Amino acid sequence: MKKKMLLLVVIIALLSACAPQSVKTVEVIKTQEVVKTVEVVTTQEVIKTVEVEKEVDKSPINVTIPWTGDAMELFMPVVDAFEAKTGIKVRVLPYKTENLGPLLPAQFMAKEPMADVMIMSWPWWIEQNSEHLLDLSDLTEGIDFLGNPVVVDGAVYGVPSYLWVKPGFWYRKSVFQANGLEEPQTWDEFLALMDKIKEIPGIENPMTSPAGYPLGDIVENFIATFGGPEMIKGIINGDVKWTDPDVRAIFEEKIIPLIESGDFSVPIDRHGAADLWWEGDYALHFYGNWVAEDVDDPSDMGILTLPGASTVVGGSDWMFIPKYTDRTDDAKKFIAFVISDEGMKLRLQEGGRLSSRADIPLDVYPPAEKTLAEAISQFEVLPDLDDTIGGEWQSTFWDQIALLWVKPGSLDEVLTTLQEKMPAK
Amino acid sequence: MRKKIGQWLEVLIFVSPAIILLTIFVIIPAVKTLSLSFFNSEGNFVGFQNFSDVLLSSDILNLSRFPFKSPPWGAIPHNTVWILIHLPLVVSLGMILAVLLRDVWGGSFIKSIIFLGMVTPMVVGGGIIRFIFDEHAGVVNGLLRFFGLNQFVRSWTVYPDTALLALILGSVLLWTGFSLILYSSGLSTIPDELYEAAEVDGANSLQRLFYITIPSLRPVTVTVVAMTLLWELKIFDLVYTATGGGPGGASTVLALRMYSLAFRALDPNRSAVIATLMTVLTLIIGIWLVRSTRRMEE
Repeated sequence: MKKKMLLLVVIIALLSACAPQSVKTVEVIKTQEVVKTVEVVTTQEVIKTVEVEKEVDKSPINVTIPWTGDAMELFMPVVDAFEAKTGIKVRVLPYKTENLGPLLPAQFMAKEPMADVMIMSWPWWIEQNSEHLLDLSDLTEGIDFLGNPVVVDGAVYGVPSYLWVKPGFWYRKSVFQANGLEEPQTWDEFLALMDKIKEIPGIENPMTSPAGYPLGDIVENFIATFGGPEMIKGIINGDVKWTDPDVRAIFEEKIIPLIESGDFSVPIDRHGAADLWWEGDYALHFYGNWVAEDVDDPSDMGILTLPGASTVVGGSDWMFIPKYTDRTDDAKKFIAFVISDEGMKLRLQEGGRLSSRADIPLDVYPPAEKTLAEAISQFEVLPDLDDTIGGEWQSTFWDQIALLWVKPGSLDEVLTTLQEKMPAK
Repeated sequence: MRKKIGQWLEVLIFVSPAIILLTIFVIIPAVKTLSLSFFNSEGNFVGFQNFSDVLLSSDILNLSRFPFKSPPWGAIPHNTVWILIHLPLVVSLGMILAVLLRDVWGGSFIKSIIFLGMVTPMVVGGGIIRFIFDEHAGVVNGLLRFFGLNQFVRSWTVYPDTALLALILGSVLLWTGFSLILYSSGLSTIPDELYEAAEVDGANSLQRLFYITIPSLRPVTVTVVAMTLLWELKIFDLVYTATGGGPGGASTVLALRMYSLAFRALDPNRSAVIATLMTVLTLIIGIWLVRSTRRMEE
């Protein structure tokens, strides 16, 4: 008897593990099917009632977003408006791109994605996994985007949500005013500014060096400014090598002298860097425009571009739909709403993001973003170098630049490693 | 005969859940991982090509720097250095602290504090290590300044010469609680009569330590060594959060390389090579542990 009971428990346990996870609401809809029977002499219509089971899923759609904390809160008005308008509930799951990327391949293999819509900041990842994603070309048709959609073989797999830019070094207007500092127009003035900042009491270093991707962004900004947009594009498509003398010269003549003279700090935790800058440990902080979400008074922020800059690095967080979701229509509706006039305005008025669409008027933005949006219209928007190349190279890039920051003498070793690790063209 | 079959059936019923679970979650994935390492991304059999690609890369063994220049030396040397420094420190510190705190008033409280490092999630541990070795706020640099050793004051985790060492020393702090607790429980099993007899024979405290305590703790030592070795081989979370394996790969380890190949390079085949290597190394330690335990039981 005991053996039978034990066996029963094992079988129940195994069966329960195989039970489906979500419950769908099934509405039985009665439809009338008209069947025509044709006879030789007379035509007779037979009305037959057929019961067709149509599944109407009233559970929420799942959407992963790469924004947490305040950034997530600022996105919620869009979600609320979508729910009110469509009646489709949304469950928002905050997942940073670096956490989402490793999770998804296994879910795609099992054809069980965790969400119906996903948003991430790695276009390379979307490209490489496009076989698991839905073609969203119909959603982007006729829209002029500032942040390019992710396109593979002519089909759109990633739709840009909001544009972010990394325009240069942020400073506090009040700090510059109090210390009589001005935005430099030439490289010599830039160097002179560094010397002046060092004299301000309490300043550790003139510029922060947030570890990880922001350090890479700083390097990218220097290459784009002093090597021009063609150098950035050439590196991305493999035509320009990291070991090229012109690339090396930018490191040797511009970046390394700043590191060696203590104008940059040693790499510090990127999450705390903005606070340290805001509190006055550093005067300049290179970061994306979403840093506005982390400061008390965004109107006190000014942007200092490198002298001679004609470009700005910009990108987006791209939305995509796994093709294994059974909520395709609802998921598409969600993306369509986010990039609609109404959806876009709801988010932009909260601040911290720019429109990925070219046709959104400037008066939608709060003052700080309006100034930024106006300013970047003067610049060519370049794709983010490491986000575009992606893969293992991206983390190698951040890591090697961190090495360069603490050991500038390793320049050749760093450039050689970056070139060796570049993905095949 | 029927009774014997009945007994076997009973055994089978009791072990079958474990066998089923082990098969699903351990054996099948292990076999699949092994087979992955012999194929390329297109699914073609490539023999040992992935093994040579991975094991001869500078990320795994950087012979141009190892052993005479500063790191990065590659993941295998880094894991090896980790074992060479971490293992003796953890074993000896655990044993010494267990002996010292055995009969001290408040010893249990101190042991609990030391054990806190062990129960701290290693992801948090990584952050703690970064903080401990921070140039401005870190206690290590505070002590160095106090003793006038200003030439060593720096954020240890951001420099290639010191990042690995900082991680290893930090992990000693986090893992010593494990050996301390095991040795403490091992000490409580040594009969007092042995010490009393030794005292009667005129043995001093050092002689009692070397001739009674340490030999009696041998089974515990085997367990501590085996478990610590396994932990050192699979170390990942602590490195990932503290340094990400950098700067310049100066603190990368095998498990981090495995992760990077699988989830950054999206190359499960080459990642499987490292997984296979780690499985083999783990198996060797596991077999040694089982054999040692059996020998001691006999």
